[in-house]
Amino acid sequence: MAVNNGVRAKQMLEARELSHAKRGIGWGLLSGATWGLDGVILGIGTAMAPFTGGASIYAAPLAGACLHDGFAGLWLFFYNLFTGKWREYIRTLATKPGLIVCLAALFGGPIGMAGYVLGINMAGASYALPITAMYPAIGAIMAVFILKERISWRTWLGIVLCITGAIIVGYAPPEGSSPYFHLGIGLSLLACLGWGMEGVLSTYGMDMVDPDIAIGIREAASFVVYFVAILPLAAGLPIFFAAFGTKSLWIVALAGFFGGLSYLAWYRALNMTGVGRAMTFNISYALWGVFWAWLITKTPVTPALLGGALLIFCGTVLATTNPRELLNLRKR
Amino acid sequence: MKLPMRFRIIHLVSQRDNISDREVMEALQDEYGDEGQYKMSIIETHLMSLRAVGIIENTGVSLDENDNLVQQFSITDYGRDLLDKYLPSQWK
Repeated sequence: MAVNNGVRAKQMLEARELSHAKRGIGWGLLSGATWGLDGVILGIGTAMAPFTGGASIYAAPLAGACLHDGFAGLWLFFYNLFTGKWREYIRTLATKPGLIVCLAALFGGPIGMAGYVLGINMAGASYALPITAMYPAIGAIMAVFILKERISWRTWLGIVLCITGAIIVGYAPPEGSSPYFHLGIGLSLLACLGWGMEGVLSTYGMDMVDPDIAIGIREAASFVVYFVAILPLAAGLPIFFAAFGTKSLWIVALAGFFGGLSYLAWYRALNMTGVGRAMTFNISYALWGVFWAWLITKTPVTPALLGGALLIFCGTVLATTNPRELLNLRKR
Repeated sequence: MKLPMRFRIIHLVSQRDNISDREVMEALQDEYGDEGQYKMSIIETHLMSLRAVGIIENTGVSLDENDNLVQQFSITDYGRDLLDKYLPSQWK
């Protein structure tokens, strides 16, 4: 009887651990779906006044990104208030892992997100998007060295397919050359490095920090750096304040809601399934973006979009085919 | 100042040779019992994630009289290294 109980207990434990890892995959997919939706909604909001003006080409996108992260941080604070975790903000900031999360926020927000929106602005989305979608490869490679994370050949192949798909989805021939084209490519690469580093750093810090609190701190820290350092430099503050009282503010607030949800899901997935895999699911945003844009703004779906989307789908499936490997993420 | 709850769980596991999920729950009651996050489901999720990233390890599993799973945990070398590095000095 005791032996049978022991065997059954082990089976129940294995089932529970597998379900934990699978839930991590679910969060990863949700992060991609909501990031795609966030991008489409943010695009609608920032195409309206006051985001159409500005003293420089940097001002409006950066003001939009600042408001976006500010709203995401606010919604996440409400969520943590609701789940009874709000006291954890101060406690976490008093520890070193909490400060590592802030450092990750600096890489992901003002470096990653600003590089992303400016890259799109200067080089055009067709070039900036494929470059930024390469960030999982950089994150996964950094994770192998920094976190000693275990990544199988299947996951690698999945990552490569996802990136190839994202490039095809985002690629279109250039329409004339912008004087800032090369600067835009450089900024997109910077975004790529920023996001890759964010994933690795936040996983490193978050091994000890609650992911729900980590993301709350991340969005708040990102907003503060934008507001105090980036917007004054880019002459974005007038646009920031002009947005209050306009309809576009509410659209950006809605985008911030999905952005917050996306990041919450992403940070949970990072912790439950590992950096490489979580990032692979996250960049399914290239595919989700096509879907949401078709649904909401009636953007047509071309063969290149479908082909790329299929590659991303295959890559995602490949990266998940052996859930048993998910049980132990790290080399011991 | 109190440690964040997840951090405190790691600290708690490091102080015993073996500790079960229920003993973790009981030990946290005085410090976190009045907070909304003090729930078995939240504490279980922390323990599972900490195990998945290799900070703590599973050292035993059994069923109680009501057929519920009871897990035993202990700290790993990696977890101990992290605590050495990051535990605030007043907790050492």
